[in-house]
Amino acid sequence: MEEALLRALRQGSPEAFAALVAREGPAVYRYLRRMTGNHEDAADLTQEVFVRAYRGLARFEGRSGLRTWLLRIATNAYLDQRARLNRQALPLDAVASWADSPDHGPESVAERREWVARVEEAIRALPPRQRAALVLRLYGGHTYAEVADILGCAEGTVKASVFAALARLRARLGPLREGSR
Amino acid sequence: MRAACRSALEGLAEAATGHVPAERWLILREHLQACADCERRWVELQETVAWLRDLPDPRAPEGFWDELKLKVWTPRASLRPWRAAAAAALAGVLLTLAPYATRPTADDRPAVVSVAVREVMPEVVRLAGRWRSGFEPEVDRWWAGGE
Repeated sequence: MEEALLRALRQGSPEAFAALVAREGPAVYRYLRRMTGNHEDAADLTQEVFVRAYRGLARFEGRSGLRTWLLRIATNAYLDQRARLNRQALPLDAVASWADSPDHGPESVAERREWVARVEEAIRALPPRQRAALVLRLYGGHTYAEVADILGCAEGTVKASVFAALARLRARLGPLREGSR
Repeated sequence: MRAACRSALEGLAEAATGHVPAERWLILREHLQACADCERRWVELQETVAWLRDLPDPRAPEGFWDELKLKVWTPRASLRPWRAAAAAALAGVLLTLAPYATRPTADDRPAVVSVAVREVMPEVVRLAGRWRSGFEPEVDRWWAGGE
C-alpha cells in the first residue's frame, strides 16, 4: 500500500500527493500544533513539510515509514522556524476558542479555558526536544524506538526526555491544580 | 534520587504515556511496592498524563487541507510562465529562420540554409535543455506532451 503510494508520488501523480496529504496531513498538523501552540505557525509548517517532502522524494529511501519521515521533516522544519523566528503563541482567548468542550463536568467553561491555556503554555515552555519527544509519544502514540528514529537520537535519550518533560509539567501544573481545588 | 528510582520512574513514565511489556511492568510494580516515594510519584505521573490527555484534539479548520494542496502545487504551477517564455523563444527562432526557408531561389541557397540551421540548432537545443533543467516532473511530462 505504502510502496504503491510512494511509487505514484515519485511519478509525480497529483492524486498520490492528495492521498498523502489526506492520510498523513492530520498527524503532521496535530504534532506541529502541539509544538507551536498556534494554528498559524502549525499551518505554515505543515505546508512546508509537504513542500520539503515533495522535493525530497527522490532522496527518500523508504527505510522508515512515510509518517516517520514526514514527522522528521516536521521536527526539522519546526526547529528551523524556531531559529528564524521568535513568534509568540496565540493569546489566551484564541487558544480558548478550540478549548470549549461540553463534557467537562462541573468545571465552568471559563475555568476549562483557563486550564487548557495553562497546560498548553506549560507544554510550550518545555525545551524543544523534550516537547517533541513527549508530543510524539503521548499524542502521536509512537513507541520510544519510533520517537528516537524521528528525532534522530538514542532511545535512552527519548526515555530520559519524556520523563524530564513530565516532571517539569508536574512541577508547573501541580501547584496550579492544587490552588484551583 | 537513587539510580534505581530514576530508572524505575523513567520506566513508569513510559508506562503512563503508552505501554511497556508485561515482564517489565512486573519489575516496575515490584519497585513500587517497595518504594513509597516512587509510588507517590507514579500517582502524580498518571495524574499529569491525564491532564495532558484531556486537552482538546487540535484540528485544522475546514478547507485547510484543500488550500494546502493548492498551495503546495502552486510553486509547480507557477512554472507555467516558463511555458509561455519557451514558446515565445521558439517562435522567435522559427521567425529568424523563416526568411531562409522561404527564399530558396538559387542553387546554393539550400546549402546556406543548411549551414544556418546547423549553426542555430545547437543553441536551440542548449536553450531547451536549460529550460527543462531544474523543472519538476510534471513539467517534464508537459514537455513530453502530457499534462
